[in-house]
Amino acid sequence: MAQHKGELNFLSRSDGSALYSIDDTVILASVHGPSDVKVSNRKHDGLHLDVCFSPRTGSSNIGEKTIEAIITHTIKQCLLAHLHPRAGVTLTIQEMQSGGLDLSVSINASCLALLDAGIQMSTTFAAVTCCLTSDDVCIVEPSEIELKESKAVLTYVFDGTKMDVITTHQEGAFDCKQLLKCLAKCKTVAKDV
Amino acid sequence: MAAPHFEMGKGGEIIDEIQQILDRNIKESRCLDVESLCIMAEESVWQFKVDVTVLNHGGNLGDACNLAAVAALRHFHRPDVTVEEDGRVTIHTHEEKELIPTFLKKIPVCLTFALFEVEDDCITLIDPTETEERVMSGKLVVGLNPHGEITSLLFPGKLCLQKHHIMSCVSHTFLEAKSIAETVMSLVEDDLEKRRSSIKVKGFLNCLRSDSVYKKQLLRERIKNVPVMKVKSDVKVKEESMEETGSEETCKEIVAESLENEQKEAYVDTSSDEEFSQDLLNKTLPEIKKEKKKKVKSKTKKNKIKLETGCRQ
Repeated sequence: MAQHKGELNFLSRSDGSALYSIDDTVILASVHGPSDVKVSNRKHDGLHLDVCFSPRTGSSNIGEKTIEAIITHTIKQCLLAHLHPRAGVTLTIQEMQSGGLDLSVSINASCLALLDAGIQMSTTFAAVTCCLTSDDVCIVEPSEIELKESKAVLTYVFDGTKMDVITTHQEGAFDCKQLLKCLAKCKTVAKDV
Repeated sequence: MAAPHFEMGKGGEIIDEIQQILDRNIKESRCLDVESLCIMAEESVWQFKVDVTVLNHGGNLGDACNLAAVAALRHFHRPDVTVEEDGRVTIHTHEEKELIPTFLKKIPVCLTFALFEVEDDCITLIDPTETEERVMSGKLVVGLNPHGEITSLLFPGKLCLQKHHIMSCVSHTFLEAKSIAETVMSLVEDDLEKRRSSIKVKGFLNCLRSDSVYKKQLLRERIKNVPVMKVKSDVKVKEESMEETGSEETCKEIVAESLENEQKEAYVDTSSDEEFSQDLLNKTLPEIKKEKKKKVKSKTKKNKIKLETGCRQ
């Protein structure tokens, strides 16, 4: 498996922050909250979550919005939102270095940042990416070169307690058997993460 | 991300101020040789775009952004081009031809003074922190280059200053500017050297430290200077990756431990990161031992440094 590194409480001004890296991909996640939120965004029964992913260079585009949507979906399932009605949590993710594994590193970093901020969660979560090469070999946590040559890239997010799948994200062409095979492999890896 | 009161996408006056500082210092000072960026007269030219992202607002954003932008420009290398006679332009990859570095004629440096009006006196502080910025009465931003030319002068706020006061501030910056410029350039050169000799550059993995960690490191250095332990041999500082079940030890405990035993390897907790806004000036990049196992750093655990100490009897 590739080398993982993480550091908490990285930024002094944020309520919670985490710098996470897998091999060459380095991502910084910063959490502010629970705090005030605009009247238009206020929810009477729970927390409002705002996720923002900023790429290394350039402005936010549709690719970044997809990542934001996936992360929002993942966190909403784990966060105990009903404990903070009419409040908001802002999660900002900054891509520092790109090695191709942006999605899984962002998810892992956001989990650590939320923990560092002390926001109540029902469970922690871990993300694993794997890729399928043209000869049907499943490589977990591939490098950038392996990613480019693969025919499909799959990302799974597992929860920390029951190891159930919370979120999946796939790109590329593959069939059912390959999906299940990759899923099983990722599950074993996720336990370590 | 930088601070709770900033929103993504929305500007605010601080962005305008930083934009103004960067524009004046870098664009209008003509430190960059823009004529060398031309490929074909009246046809094509290279365009540079600098994206500055603030990770943490610890004070004095203008200086930090200026440093970052200048370092990035100096670090950047553009691909080489050849212009054929019939007008076709070929851009070479870095394998074909070596990349051309950006030529900075003069290195613009920015220094901020925080001014506090106390009765009739005016106290001046260089490089204010965030708390100092919030309570200061006025600010003076001086941009200049080591040759002694002032590129920009910003004096926002309602405070009035005597002429001699401004002149003394400006003359003070001349001394600082040279040292800052030299430090930045040497750091960029170091990194470029490493890349040339194809040592894999770790990038952000080790460069950045947080505020609280930096303060702890300063404390630790102060404790180290207390003459409790005599170090006979040269202190070899090697950075080791941490163990997951390692315990947090304070420096004093280690010192006590090492006094009891001879030639014991003492583990000292330190960190190896620095706050981004103060970073580039004082950092020394320690060597990192590469380990294949996964290590997770958490708030209470820091990097352990192996110290070989010889203890006195």
